[in-house]
Amino acid sequence: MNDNEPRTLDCGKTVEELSAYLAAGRTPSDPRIETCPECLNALQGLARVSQLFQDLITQDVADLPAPPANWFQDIMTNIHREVRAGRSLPLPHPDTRVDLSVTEGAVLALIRTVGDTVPGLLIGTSHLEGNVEEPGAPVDVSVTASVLWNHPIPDAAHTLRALISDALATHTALNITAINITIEDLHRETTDSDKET
Amino acid sequence: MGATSNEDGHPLDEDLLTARVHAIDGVTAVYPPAPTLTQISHLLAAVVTGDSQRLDRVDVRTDGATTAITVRVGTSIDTATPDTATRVADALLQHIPDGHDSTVTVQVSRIA
Amino acid sequence: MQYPDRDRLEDVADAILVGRAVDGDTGAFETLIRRHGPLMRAYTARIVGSMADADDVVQDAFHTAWRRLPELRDPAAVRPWLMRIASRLAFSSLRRKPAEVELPDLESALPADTQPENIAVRNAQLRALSAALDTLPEDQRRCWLLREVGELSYDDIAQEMELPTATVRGKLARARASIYAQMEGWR
Repeated sequence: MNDNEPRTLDCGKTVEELSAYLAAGRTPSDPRIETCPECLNALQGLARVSQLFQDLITQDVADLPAPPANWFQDIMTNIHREVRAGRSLPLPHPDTRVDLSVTEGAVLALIRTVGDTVPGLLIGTSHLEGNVEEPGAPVDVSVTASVLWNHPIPDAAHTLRALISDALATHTALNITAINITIEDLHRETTDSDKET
Repeated sequence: MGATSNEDGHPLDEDLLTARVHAIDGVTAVYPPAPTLTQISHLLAAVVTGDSQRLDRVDVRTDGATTAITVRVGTSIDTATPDTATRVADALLQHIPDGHDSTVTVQVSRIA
Repeated sequence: MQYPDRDRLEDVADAILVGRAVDGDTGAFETLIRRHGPLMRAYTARIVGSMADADDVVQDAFHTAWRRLPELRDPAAVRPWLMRIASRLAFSSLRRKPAEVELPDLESALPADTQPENIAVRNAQLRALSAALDTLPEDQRRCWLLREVGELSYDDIAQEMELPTATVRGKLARARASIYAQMEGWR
């Protein structure tokens, strides 16, 4: 590295010292630097390196060749193979030789599927709280969802609760004691003027 | 496999059982059994040959006297899943030869 | 598996997608790949020096991310987290393969003689920056990329590189000074 030895400015400060000063957020403020035109020029130049670097990465992204044909599919195939099953929720069957269950992952996906049918609403996370592996044990459902501004949130939450309740009663043997719905975040597409906060 | 054949072929034939499960009302898919060490070679073979169908089937483990039948299925959102799962289990029970000490495990992995 | 909600998911904040992906929603994770994949590929190519190697690394990174997503504490910060994973895999792949590091010639797509002069100057400037970056010692380069592309905090970089925060700050300062000094002709 012959070319990048720290340069010394005419005022005696090195570029490296100034870079350290910049990295420290220019605190504590050093009046000798802050009043020296040479130092200020160098500080400005050092700060510009970041901007230029952002330009470089932006250009890299713009010039990026398409990934190989199967690149995307390979990732998704691997991921599908490792779908999160979660806990095993028992279903009743009169024959003791039979073990019926539905996976927690299937139930969470079901909650997303029915929740996403509510206009303007998108499910975030969902949790089953309680001993879901024990038949008849009380289970609370907690769901976070995001709602668009033009759909009144109480209605959406009400509809969502009814849909989840129905779906779980139809497809599981869970003893649901509560369905807690939290409206947590907003779609990015929400317009500022009418945004609910 | 120690059981005797009948007119449908071997009663514990995995392909036959898989076809039976597929035909049950409310079943939308049959998935590979939960991964175990013994299935990794299956998995690799299927990935190499692009034949994922080979994995998606009923798994039968038997030593002649003891039989364990396991299947993972997807069920239709339009049919009550406990009913569908019960139909799957009942269909599989019918294939267990008399006198076998057996278990049938049905896991629903997807409802859509 | 179909993704009926892909269009809807594209408009949603990272935190929501992460929540769904943790719950097992592969469609939400697919949207995260589409959103952050390009920057990760560009970033990783800067580290490993070839697009083909970068594509392998980023595939691994997403696979790792899927498995470890439940450990992510701040779902809104998924991008720096993905960058950190990609960075770790990229630098370890470099160590496995002592190949000569050659930067992807991304600029060559544009024929130089047809560019307007200011663009030509800018491209030359970016080439100089690219070359300067390449002369940095690995630990400085890694700190720099984690900070400037990954947008990690000094503390997170320190944790990632198992160095004291003050050392990280020093390395970043030296990296910046070194790039600046080499870029003098282009200021």
